[in-house]
Amino acid sequence: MRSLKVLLVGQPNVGKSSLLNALVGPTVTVSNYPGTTVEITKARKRIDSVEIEFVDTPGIYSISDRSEEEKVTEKALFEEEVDRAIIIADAAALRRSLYLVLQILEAEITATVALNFVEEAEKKGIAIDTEKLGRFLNVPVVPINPLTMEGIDTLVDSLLEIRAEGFRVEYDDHIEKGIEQISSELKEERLPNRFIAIRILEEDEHFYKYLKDEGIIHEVKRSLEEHPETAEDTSKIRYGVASFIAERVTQIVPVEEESKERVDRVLLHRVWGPVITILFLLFIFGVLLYLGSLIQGVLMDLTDSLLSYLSMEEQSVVTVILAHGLTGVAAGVSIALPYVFLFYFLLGLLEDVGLLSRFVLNAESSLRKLGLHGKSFIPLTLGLGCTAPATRATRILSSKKEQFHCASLLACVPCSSRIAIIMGIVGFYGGMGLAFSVLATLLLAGLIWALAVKRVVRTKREPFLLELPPYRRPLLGNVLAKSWIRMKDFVYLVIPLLAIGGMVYGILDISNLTDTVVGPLSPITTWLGLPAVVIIPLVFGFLQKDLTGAMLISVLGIEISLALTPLQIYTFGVAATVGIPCIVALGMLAREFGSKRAILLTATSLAYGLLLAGIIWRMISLF
Amino acid sequence: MAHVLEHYVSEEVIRNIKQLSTFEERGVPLTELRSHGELVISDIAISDNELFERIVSMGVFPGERIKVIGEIRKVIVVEIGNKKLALDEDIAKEIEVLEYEES
Repeated sequence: MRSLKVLLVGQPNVGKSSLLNALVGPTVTVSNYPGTTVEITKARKRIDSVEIEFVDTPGIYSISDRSEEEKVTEKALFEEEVDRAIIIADAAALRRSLYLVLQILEAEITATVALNFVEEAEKKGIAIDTEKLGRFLNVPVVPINPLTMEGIDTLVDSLLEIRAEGFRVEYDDHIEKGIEQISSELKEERLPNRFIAIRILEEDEHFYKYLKDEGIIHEVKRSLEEHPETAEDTSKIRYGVASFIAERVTQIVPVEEESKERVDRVLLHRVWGPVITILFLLFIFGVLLYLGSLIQGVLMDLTDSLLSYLSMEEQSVVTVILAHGLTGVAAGVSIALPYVFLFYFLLGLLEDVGLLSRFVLNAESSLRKLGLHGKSFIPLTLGLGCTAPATRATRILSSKKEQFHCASLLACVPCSSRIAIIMGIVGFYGGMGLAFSVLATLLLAGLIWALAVKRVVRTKREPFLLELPPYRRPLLGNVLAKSWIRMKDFVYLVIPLLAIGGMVYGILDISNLTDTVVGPLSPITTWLGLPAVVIIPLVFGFLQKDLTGAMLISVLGIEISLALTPLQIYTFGVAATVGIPCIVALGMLAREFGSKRAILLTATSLAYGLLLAGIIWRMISLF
Repeated sequence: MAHVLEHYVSEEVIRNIKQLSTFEERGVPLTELRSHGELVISDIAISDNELFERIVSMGVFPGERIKVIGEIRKVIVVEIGNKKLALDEDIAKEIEVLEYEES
């Protein structure tokens, strides 16, 4: 059977993922925030007798080696076998869309241009002659609408055609000379020499490896002495050609501007923008707290009945371990699952409406003070759900260093399990006032931590440059699909580990190994002014954060408010919530940044939490 | 740059550039003219190749019309080619603009 590998490429927010949805069904994430797909999504479909593999790539504005997205997409384009590319262009922003089209055609990849947002452009008075555009580019141009499925069949048909070569940009004489010079000095490659030569002329170091001898670069530069800005000239000509073609295929009809933009007058306002962003954060946090308490009630009933069922059985070693494992899963499923899912759903909704990028913009100046890029807003907010997927979400930042910097701050962003400790234990036994003082402490601890990390890590910040997508009505299916993709880590990775964590704790518990940590680690509890047994929930909570409460009850008895003073409950709350929360988060950190950095960060952050809790306790005791 | 662009360039861009060349003075950084309505980009002075290409591929190019629609602390929000972009002040000050006049 014939098989085809088809790459979907396009600028951010041009509808790549929704096109993939239209092509193969709802299997993938679609979003209205530039740069959310840093990973590649693949989907297969059989059409006639051809097996087509569609590969969705992260959105890129151009081919250059700047961001993580570009690296991923360029690898897919140039280092793997590709049969076809669908380049998605935005009808309302044709000039810049064509820039990328021209660049990809330079690589002589057999391409079809899918023109999206044709109706949106028409509302703005922009009509595009797609046939004429096709003749200019010498590739099929298909107007599409992934939502109504318009043009999708034509698009697929065009993939199966046999095609001539696409349009080629002719550069100025001096650039063409440089291209020729470099072309003759290249190793045998699958990629066309001309394309590689252009990339090298544009000083894309990624392509230097194709040269027989890097010395040629200096030679070429010397011969181009009269044109010191060859790299820039190349981009300029390419854009010039794009605008030339765009103008010849576009008809502008003046129309009344419809105003969906009133929202932006508020959200992009110097005062109201940040105010609304903060209010929104408080709102989302409030919703989470409310839901958290609601779900916790359900959880308690559920685990109680489950555990009582198990204890009816004969008390063997196996059932005890199993019971602990099940408690772990129950905690994960009933607290975290609905909570995390709702949270990611809410966030996905904001993303697809187009609000999230406005919040990112508003958060930029505050985050800049902490040495972070505005985009860190997204992983940090995701951290309110679960630290592990949030760690992975730091990938939207450009450099590994920036990613690590951002991930380190997750130590002080309370995840659902930590919020459950604050609300369910501190709040339940010590009152809401106490719970909020733990939250306030966490916020303060986070600020101090962030400023300290800024001094240590010293990240070179990428300049802030972000597209604000137009407001669009979100599609429920897409938001659900995306929430599920973010949840996947949680379901397949976090929940099984929660069960394992629970069982490990069970094993340690029945073999009385838990008690062996009480003695040697008593300096910690002394430092915190807590009873020695409290070390058990603190230490073993790291295996399964959601069991911290249950462990505390099992060591102190159900009447915690009798065993601990309010100040002790507060101290426990701070000690249990500041720091990288659990072994799952540690694992994710290790996967993203290596185990050395992960362990260092985890140990430092936990030590910081204990130190802080002890200091605050001592300070308050003085009065 | 005129030499580089002589092969192709859209008439609108040429019109705008011609209009620019009739001005005696050079453009001013976007950061200084930000409160004015419709502007035209006269030059981009970014020296980093990659950033230059990024900016160009986002549709920021000499001759394009640009309008400042918001400003939050050190970030400037502009509308250009039907798209909205948020730019660092550091980038915005490298974009030179002139006031746009209907021709």
